[in-house]
Amino acid sequence: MLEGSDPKHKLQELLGTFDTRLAGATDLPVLILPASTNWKGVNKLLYVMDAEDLNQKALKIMYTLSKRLQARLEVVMISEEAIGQSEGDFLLVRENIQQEFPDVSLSLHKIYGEQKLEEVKFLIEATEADWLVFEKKDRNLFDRLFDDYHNHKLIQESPIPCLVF
Amino acid sequence: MKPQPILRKEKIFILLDKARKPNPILDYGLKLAAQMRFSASLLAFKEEEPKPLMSLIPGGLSSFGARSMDVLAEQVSPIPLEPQLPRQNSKLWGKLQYELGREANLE
Repeated sequence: MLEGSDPKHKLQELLGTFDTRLAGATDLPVLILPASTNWKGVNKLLYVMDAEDLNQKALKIMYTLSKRLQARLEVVMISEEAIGQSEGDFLLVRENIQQEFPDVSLSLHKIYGEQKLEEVKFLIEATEADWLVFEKKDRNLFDRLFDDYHNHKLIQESPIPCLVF
Repeated sequence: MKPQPILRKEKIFILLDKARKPNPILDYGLKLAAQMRFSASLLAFKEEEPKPLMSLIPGGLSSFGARSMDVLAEQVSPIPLEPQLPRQNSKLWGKLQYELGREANLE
């Protein structure tokens, strides 16, 4: 766990600050706190996952974490497909999660389209989440130049603590 | 589905780059450790005069309810944490890798 820092220029935004690089470099889960964070308990987790890449191990981690914290779980499924095209995937993932999390209080959300970062920020506010949680995504510098949805940007733009694993 | 042994070490490793008091990061970490019933390890990087880290916790650990805390290192000086990139900051990065690697190897 460590305090996050704002990038001082565009290059650092792309390459990452110390905290975002540490999150990418270690195998341990890393919790990055915005400088203004004050403790008010952890009661709600906003977990962002790829709808097309259902990761059972990640779901188990989220299950364990939410049970341990006794926190409500808000699951956000992000899809690269247009609305409608990935509806089948969404329903499958939803069914799978509901089976895996029978005794955890949770809600499901889905995000489509280009404005993923803005949608995640909207959900942070709308759900009043205490943490934003996501898995590391391997994005190269080229990808990060043309897409604002990547680890560094999520951490930098999040107004709440980010747990990256 | 039963809880999986994923959080095996049950320890929060808190990195501090400022020995300020009151310290919201330390406060957050210790209260989180208490909520999760974890122990906490503290690694602090300071540029100013070293002072005992426990002095940052006015009421002592019991005031947070954390299970236990150990201090791994009190000072790596005079290296600032940011905005340098890890490879430019090899001493700090080396220390972090060592401590995090040691933690990982405990699993």
